[in-house]
Amino acid sequence: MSILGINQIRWKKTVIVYGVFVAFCMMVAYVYNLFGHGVHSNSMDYMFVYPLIGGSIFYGILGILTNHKVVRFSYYRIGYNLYNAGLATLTVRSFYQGVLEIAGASSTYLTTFMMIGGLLMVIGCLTMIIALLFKEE
Amino acid sequence: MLTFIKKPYRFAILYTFLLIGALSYVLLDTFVITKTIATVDESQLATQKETETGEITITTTTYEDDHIKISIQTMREYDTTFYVADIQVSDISYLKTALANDSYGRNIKETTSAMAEDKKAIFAINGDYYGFRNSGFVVRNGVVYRDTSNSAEALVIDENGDFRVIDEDSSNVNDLFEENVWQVFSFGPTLIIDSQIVVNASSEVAQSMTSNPRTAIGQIDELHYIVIVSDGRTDESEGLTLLELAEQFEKYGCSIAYNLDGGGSSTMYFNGEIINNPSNGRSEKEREVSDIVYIGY
Repeated sequence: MSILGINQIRWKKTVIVYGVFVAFCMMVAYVYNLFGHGVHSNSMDYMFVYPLIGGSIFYGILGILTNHKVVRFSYYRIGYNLYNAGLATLTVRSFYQGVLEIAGASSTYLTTFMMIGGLLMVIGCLTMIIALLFKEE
Repeated sequence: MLTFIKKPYRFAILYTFLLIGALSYVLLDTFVITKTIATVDESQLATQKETETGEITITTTTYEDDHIKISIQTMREYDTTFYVADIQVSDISYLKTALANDSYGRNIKETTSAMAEDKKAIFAINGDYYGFRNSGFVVRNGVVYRDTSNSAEALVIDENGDFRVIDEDSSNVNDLFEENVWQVFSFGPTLIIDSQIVVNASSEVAQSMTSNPRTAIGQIDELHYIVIVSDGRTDESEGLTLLELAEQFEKYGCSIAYNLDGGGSSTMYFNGEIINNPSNGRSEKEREVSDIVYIGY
């Protein structure tokens, strides 16, 4: 199989894994809401949006735009891992915010999660762009 | 480092464990780990005018002495049982608050009845559960414990025993302190202002859209108050919406009323007994809270 073919499979795998993660987030929110006595939190209800938009849709579009070509694979892998870690952090933050909202509590850790998640996503995204667009000297 | 980050599964697995660990820690820190910031200094507290009670008359639903008069009615409306306490005191110093373990901080909890027994309270209800949040004014028995705004309406009880509602964002707790404010609660929402109901059918605490156990306090007249605690989340009692709760305060002639912490926290204690049926929807058990409002010497 060609490298392009392998990349296509990897891309598809990422989109599907994120799709599973979207379903998992929806299920967690549903189960949590069963015990919430009617108290709802948008952060909990819509936490699936992070893996949906930032994961499945993002990688789907990226794959189409780049035609699944990765110029500098090692850089791409670093960016890919950092971006995914950032996205996971923001999703967990959304869950935590939902728990706080439903309980009527508050915490200063939300900002920490936001900063770490956002920073990892930005660094990861930039690294992936470099890997996809710029050839090695 | 970079070589490690490049690895397809190793990094993902490690980061997943890291994230689970971080989430577990913050959840424990938020809901379990006790942090004491200050202890109640009894010498700081204002002293009440009289400790002699005179002749005391007690029944299962009433208490009366020279300074305190309390009567409790059990009501049934909206498929809900609720308890209305009519309270009259001769001085506001008989309406007090207590913090769990006599300490201010996070996750410091005791049941309402345990705190009430400790303070020899005649009557007590749960407070605003300040310890669940990092912000919101906390002034108890004339002592300022927290001055950060929760961007909410707070209930102020002044040294004359009069209630008023303030916007925390546009208020300074130190200014309130100079006005000799006796208590400040930060929960809400306000149910009645100037004898007018200010909640509607869609008003709820946070995003809750259902009936719930409730605790709320209102003022009828000078040193004359109404406290309502409702059961809820059980087969026998559905619970009250905020509008239904406000309608009850209106019926009793309150000019102002304010919602306190509810749900599983809602507890009414009177003469050594828990009057209501505290329930969190899963079990009928009294929940530990961070503070109470009580009537006593």
